[in-house]
Amino acid sequence: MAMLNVVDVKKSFAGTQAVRGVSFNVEPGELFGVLGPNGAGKTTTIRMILDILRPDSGSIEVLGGPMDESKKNRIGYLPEERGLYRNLKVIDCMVYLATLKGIERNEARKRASAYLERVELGHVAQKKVSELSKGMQQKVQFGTTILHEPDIVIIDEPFEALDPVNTRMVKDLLFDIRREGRAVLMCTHQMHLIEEMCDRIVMFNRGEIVLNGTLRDVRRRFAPNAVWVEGNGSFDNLPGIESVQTENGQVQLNLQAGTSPQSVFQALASRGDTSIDRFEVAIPSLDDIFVRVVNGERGQ
Amino acid sequence: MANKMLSVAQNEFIKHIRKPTFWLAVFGMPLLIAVVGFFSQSNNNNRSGFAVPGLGDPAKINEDILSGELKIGFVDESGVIKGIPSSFDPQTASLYVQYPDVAQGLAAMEKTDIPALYVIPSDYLATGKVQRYSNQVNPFGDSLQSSLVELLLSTSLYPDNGSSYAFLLQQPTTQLKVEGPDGPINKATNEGERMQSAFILGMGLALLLYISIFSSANLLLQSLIEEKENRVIEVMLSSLSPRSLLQGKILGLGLLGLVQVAIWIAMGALITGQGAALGSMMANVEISLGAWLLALMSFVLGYAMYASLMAGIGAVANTMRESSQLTVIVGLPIIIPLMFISVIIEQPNGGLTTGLSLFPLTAPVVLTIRSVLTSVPLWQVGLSVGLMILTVIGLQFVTARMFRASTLLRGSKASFGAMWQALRQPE
Repeated sequence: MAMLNVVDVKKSFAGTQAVRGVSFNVEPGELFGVLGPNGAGKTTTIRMILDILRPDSGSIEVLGGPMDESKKNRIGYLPEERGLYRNLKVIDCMVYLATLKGIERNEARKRASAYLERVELGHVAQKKVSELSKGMQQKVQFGTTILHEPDIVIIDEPFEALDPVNTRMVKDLLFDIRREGRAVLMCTHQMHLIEEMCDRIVMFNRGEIVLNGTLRDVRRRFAPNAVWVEGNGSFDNLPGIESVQTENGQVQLNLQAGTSPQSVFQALASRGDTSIDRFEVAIPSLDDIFVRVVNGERGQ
Repeated sequence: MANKMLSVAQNEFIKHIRKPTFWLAVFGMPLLIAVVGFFSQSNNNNRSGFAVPGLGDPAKINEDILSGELKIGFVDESGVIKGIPSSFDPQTASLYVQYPDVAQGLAAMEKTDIPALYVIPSDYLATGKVQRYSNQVNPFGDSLQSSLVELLLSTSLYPDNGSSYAFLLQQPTTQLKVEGPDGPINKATNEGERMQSAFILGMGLALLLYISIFSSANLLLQSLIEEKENRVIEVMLSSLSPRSLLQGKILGLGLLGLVQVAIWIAMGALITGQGAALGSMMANVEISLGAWLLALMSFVLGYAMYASLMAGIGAVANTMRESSQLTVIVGLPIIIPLMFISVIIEQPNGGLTTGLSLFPLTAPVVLTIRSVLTSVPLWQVGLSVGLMILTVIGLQFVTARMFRASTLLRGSKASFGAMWQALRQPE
């Protein structure tokens, strides 16, 4: 059973189609990445999943059925724009938001204290939220998202304002969730984190999903049929090479159709005047793919 | 869902009751009134000839006497009064009109020869009670007439010093306890007292509603706008429905408003010492349990209606400034009954009164006043309460949808189009 199943969902605001027939699903134990430029329809789709907005058409199934009030207790949500009561004490804020997810007050207090200790914020439990740094607030907000141990965690820019140490901390928490068979849907513009963490991705552009699949599949679709080489000597006049591009000491050899990277490697290795420090099949970064998709490319 | 709603209510209540600003308002307001009252009283005390309790302003008495408006009709069944005391000057003596029995006195009252009839019963010396009959409504009391009756009684009982101000200061009203008759004698029974009580109850309810609503409404608006601004609202709506969120807020802040009002009433009664007097006055009039229950129900429904309206304002407004104008407009219907109070009291079953008691936004106050004054037809009570309940449901239905639509708008006003679209969607 999919944790989340979105089928042909559409949503308009004042005549503008914000989401145009979006479909995807998220499986248990999956870290699912959602990418897209600003205004592409990601947040609107998330709000429809959470029942904050209602779709104009299409269907959204959460945990095997339509969304209802009881299922809201099984979802954790970290919005892009942080939402905490600035004048409440950290612990009180966490407890209150946990009670709205069906956790009994005393239990919520225990869990909140344990979480704060784990993320090294035990000492700020009695401080007001407004007294915390942005990074600390972010960790508190993340805590409110997972305190009730949701089956689905939906997070929008979870690493914003976090330093590398805290980023690692939050990543570990997300990996724990995945390991426990729960699902994470993560929206972020930090492509390297998507590359590092996500099993599958969808990419939104202008209200549509323009990419959907595993990272490996997506990259292959955008792979340029080229190899990257670093070393000394000449890389010209190799058989099966269509063109040669050089940038920052790295040479990209664009292969002719039917030429394999292996044959190019063998040809290079056989040259006595050329030494190879690095040889890699060219795979575009997610960052490159993102820019290309936004500029209208769909891949192969 | 009820638990979540209660969680919201509890949070709102605790969050605000812990704020120093709440307590500042709770104690600051009565303090301000007390200070103003103190200076006002000091000012009055400095005015000569205005110091005798129960007698009012001598200048005003003179005005009324000279204009011939003041007549004191009385029937003495006790034999205490042996004619108008000779110590009274002729002008004062001419104010009193004695009737041989109640029937003739009431007849004179019906002919409007006298505004009220005082009956000194045969057991007056044992009870100290005097019965008062009147067809006229004077919501602010008939203390002047009663004081003149007191003067007559006091002078008759203590001919040597009963009429002196010093004596009245020592024994101001202890010998006179005005009350309505035990049973109806005719149409002119204790209507005046009932009307007075109805007025006070209605005014009290209206003021209670006003204070509760506007003290809570500001907090409700602040709370909603703050949550919209800091985006907590999005987290909240991912946890519970807009309706539960609103109901929780209305409940929590409504209770807070009631706490505030209760403290004010208690402080007011304590400071002014009027609590007992008010209780005594209300006790003089028999108000049925049903009328009290109806008043309570009207208050609860009235609060729920107006709080829902305020929440609606919170949904569409982005700032307190934006909301303030709308708040005043929404609060206007509570004032309408006060504008027509004399019509409502004089014609409790008239067309206007009936209409106002059926119109949900004016019903809480008008229905309460009517239920004290007259026997309101059951179907009208049912219809009025039903309409109020439907209005509460309808307002929450609309407000919750508006809330959903406008929650995600930040820094821009909710358009009619977006609101209309939201209203058409399922909750």
